[in-house]
Amino acid sequence: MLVVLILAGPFLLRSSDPQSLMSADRRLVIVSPHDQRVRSEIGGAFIRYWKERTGETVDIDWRIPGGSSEIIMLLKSEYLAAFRQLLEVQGMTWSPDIAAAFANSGPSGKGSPVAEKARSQFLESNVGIGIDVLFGGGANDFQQLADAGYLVAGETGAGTGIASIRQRHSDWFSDGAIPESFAGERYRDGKDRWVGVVLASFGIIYNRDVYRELGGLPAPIEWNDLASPKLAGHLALADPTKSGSVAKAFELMVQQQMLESYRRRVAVGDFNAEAHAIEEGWLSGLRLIQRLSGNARYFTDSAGKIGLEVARGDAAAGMAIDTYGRTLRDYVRNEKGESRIGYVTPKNGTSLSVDPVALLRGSADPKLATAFIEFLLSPEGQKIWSMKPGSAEGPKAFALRRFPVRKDLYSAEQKRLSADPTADPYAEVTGFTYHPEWTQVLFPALRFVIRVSCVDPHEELARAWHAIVRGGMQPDALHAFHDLNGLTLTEIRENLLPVLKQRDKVREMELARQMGNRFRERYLEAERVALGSRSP
Amino acid sequence: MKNVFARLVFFGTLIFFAAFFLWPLWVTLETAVLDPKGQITLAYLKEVFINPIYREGLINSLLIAIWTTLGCISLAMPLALLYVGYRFPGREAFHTLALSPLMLPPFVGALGVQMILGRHGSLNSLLDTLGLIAVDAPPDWLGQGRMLGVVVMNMLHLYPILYINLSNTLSRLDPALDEAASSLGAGPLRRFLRITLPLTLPGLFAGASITFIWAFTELGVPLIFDYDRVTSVQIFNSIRDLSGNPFPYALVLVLLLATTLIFIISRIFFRGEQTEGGGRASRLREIKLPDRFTSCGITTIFAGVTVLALGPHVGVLLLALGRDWYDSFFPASLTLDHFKAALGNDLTLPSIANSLRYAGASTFLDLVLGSAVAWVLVRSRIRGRALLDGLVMLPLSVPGIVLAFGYLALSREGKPLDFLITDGDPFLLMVVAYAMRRLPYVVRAMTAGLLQISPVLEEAAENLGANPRRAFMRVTLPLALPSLVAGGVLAFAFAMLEVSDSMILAQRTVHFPITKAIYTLAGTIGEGPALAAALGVWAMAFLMILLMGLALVLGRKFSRILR
Repeated sequence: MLVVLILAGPFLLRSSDPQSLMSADRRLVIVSPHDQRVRSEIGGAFIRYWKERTGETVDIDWRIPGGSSEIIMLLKSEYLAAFRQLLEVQGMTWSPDIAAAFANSGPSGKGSPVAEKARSQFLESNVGIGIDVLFGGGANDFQQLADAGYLVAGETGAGTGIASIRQRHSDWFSDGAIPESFAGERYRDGKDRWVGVVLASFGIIYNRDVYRELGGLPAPIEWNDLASPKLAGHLALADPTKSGSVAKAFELMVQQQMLESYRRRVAVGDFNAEAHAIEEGWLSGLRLIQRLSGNARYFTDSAGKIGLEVARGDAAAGMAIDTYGRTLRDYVRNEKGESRIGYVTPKNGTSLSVDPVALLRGSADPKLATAFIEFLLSPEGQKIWSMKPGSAEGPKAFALRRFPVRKDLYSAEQKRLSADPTADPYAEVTGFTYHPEWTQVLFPALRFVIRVSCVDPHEELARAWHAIVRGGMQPDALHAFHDLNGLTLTEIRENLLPVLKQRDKVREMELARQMGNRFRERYLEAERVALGSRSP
Repeated sequence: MKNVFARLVFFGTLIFFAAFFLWPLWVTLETAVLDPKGQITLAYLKEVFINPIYREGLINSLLIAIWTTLGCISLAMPLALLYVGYRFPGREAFHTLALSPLMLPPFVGALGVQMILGRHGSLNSLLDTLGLIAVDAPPDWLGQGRMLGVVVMNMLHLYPILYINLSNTLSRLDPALDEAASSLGAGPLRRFLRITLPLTLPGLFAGASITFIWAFTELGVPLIFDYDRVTSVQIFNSIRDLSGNPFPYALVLVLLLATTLIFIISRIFFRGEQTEGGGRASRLREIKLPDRFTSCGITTIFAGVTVLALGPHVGVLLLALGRDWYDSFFPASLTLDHFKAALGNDLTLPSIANSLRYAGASTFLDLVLGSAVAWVLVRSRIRGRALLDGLVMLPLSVPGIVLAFGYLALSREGKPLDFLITDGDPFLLMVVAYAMRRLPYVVRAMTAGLLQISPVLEEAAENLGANPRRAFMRVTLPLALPSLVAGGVLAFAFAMLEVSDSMILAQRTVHFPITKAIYTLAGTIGEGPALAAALGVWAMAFLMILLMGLALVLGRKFSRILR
């Protein structure tokens, strides 16, 4: 009986309304990191919308290789293979030179003529990878993919791409709806290769039970609170080289330090406040990250796991994207309405960025792809993200708990229908302006530096930090722990950035080893000092 | 005739490996030895050994593999001896259950463990109730366990491989030998060391080599503990590095070379000791019926090990059944919602059908190819057998993701393996990919089986006029059937639960196998882990039903063959 039930279960429970139809009139291929609820609500809504408008059925073929990192890897390798195929069919020989250059957004005129030619050939081509739309990820990643040439603006003449949507609905692309940028974050590409769909911000997710166990530690309100020595061994962090969103969160911490330094310096009348603040904020940002790493249980491999560890009570706190934080907080709410999970937007420490959508180069059905993007940006498409399930214009089954990018949807009447009626992300994130120019150049270096100074030597780092905490935070031990010799901005610019830019992997590896070894030794030294200074 | 067939198998296997293993491997690994200009370089390989972090990783991997293998032997050997020698309550049930620790669905297996060992997990809750730990400072087993934790988990996960191989081999030893030694005055220990152990070496080697290589390259378990000073985790971490570093491929190459070296050394070491068994027992083995106290003791031992080894499974089950399981030994309230949502998901039904197709076809391929290869290794005397022997083990030591990327690159439109994707359906590609990685289990199991069957029996059949094929089909194959089934079951179960190829090669949702469906469900924010666990439970239940059905159907046949 049980055996029959087990075997028949999937048949009995199968859904009556599958999204993927083998016999549809048209097919749309979307690659996305969005979770299955978003896929089913947004996909289902678009299928209905298209059916109503044209009478055609659409089969949405979702490609879901994993998170943003996996998607970027997929796009890179697929375009590489597709472009190589194109050249070889044309009778040209492929070379490592071309491979390195065709999708390299670096300044033109520097590479060999062959490489230059390949680059422009790629940008003019309609080489495709069998995927139409990229939906979801970080704006930074979209910008890089756009600059590499994987994302395209479309043709206004043919009525395809974001360019043509902008032509048809210029009011959507305005400060009142989707601004080009907000508080320093870009919301759409100036060249129409990507556009934001929903908002995303970073916050701190924490477990109240664990906070209580740690001697009644007050709930966190800003990034700095995560550096509290009481949290040693209780923080959940992810490796920024693997998770784009975690890298972004670290960047925000560094930005906040720069911003604070800037304000201090302006107040005392420093004439070169900005340059000094960048230098000072960079180092204090790194020191903050060192302490967070000292508190970390370990570096996990994806941002999603941070929330799970906190929810399970394995870790006290960590950083999370707002939807993760809010959804998890509600998911573990008990019948009394209390939740052991708290989620806060760190004071003066986070910006409001977007989760974009883009048309990929070589789409097989750019018209349909464009219609999908247009639907996402239209009021109907936008409302699905925030409204309560079951309401006329809202999602069918699940509240997606995300905030649409369009500002014109935050009127009092609209908010009443929202699943979070009190939330207004545009008003929440204050006291912080993102300065892309401060860290943009440094961003690749930041990932590298965190890896060699915190992730790779984490064992030694954590041991040193625990010894320092137990030893009562002796200044000389802290000094050894926070020794950032070799990582000043000047040194980064002179020694590290050129290597990272040239993609000289051998040199990069050597550098990683040398710097990593130096940090390992410093942490071992810091541990010795801390243990020595403890015993009288 | 015999040699012609052996050569045919030999070259056939070489071609199969060249096309579906070495080539895809090279496609991904070439970056490890080529600099950006396309020149051969050893800089990346050198780096593995100069960088203390990676050196430490390699040493840790080796230590984990050694401890795990020794641990598995010391766990599986007594169990196998007890099973073969004694009658005790639940004997057959425990024997059938022995394979189940291996059938842990990926991703959610880790979650199940975390639910139990977490700071606010089941174990701490129990210890707290018993007053063994302080409420406000629950120990962090996962955060602090590390190496020891990895070894223990590995042991509990992998001992079945050895147990199956050992009990298979032991049950076919000729008891007359043991009795003869006994009547000549040898004590039990001496008999074990001089008779039983040498005669079980083929089975021991078969199991231990798989266990060793598995533990050496195991990724899932160290990842549960987020223990990153281990080569496999370092590879996994840096392959996903966004900057496209070739270094991880150098790590893979080192891991591959290390595995090959270890395998060759152990082969040389074991070679001199290889003993050909007497074929089948000359008389029926007498299974002792101990007194009630002892037999209950044996049952307790089996039950204890099984309960420990099935801990993660129970964790997964409760995770699927519980409504937000937290800070309690047992979920506070139970629900079937997760099962309803998971099994009713659009992805689920097609993914089950796909997995059955992929796993079924690949297991068939493995059985045919694996038996042929094993026959060549054991029965033929052609040159290059050692090469073949080592080659078929290699797929175990290559991280699945590396091979999967190779297949992906070679199966693109216009590429040589494109023909494996028919009309957008990656069926053939999946079958080849699955079969490749599970071939070692069948080869090892069959080799051990054949080593125990005396060629004299085959020769006798041939003397009586049977041609070699008929002799093989009518004499050897039936005798080796238990080994074939053991290898086949492992190959099928692992194919059903395969991760890497499934994640990368099945791109359209309609082609997803069950593991990718589990992974996809796990990504749902909030209830994702519970949904994934629910589908994982279904997969486990399905495999268990299959296993028990097989035991039921074949059980009688087995004993008839043995008699």
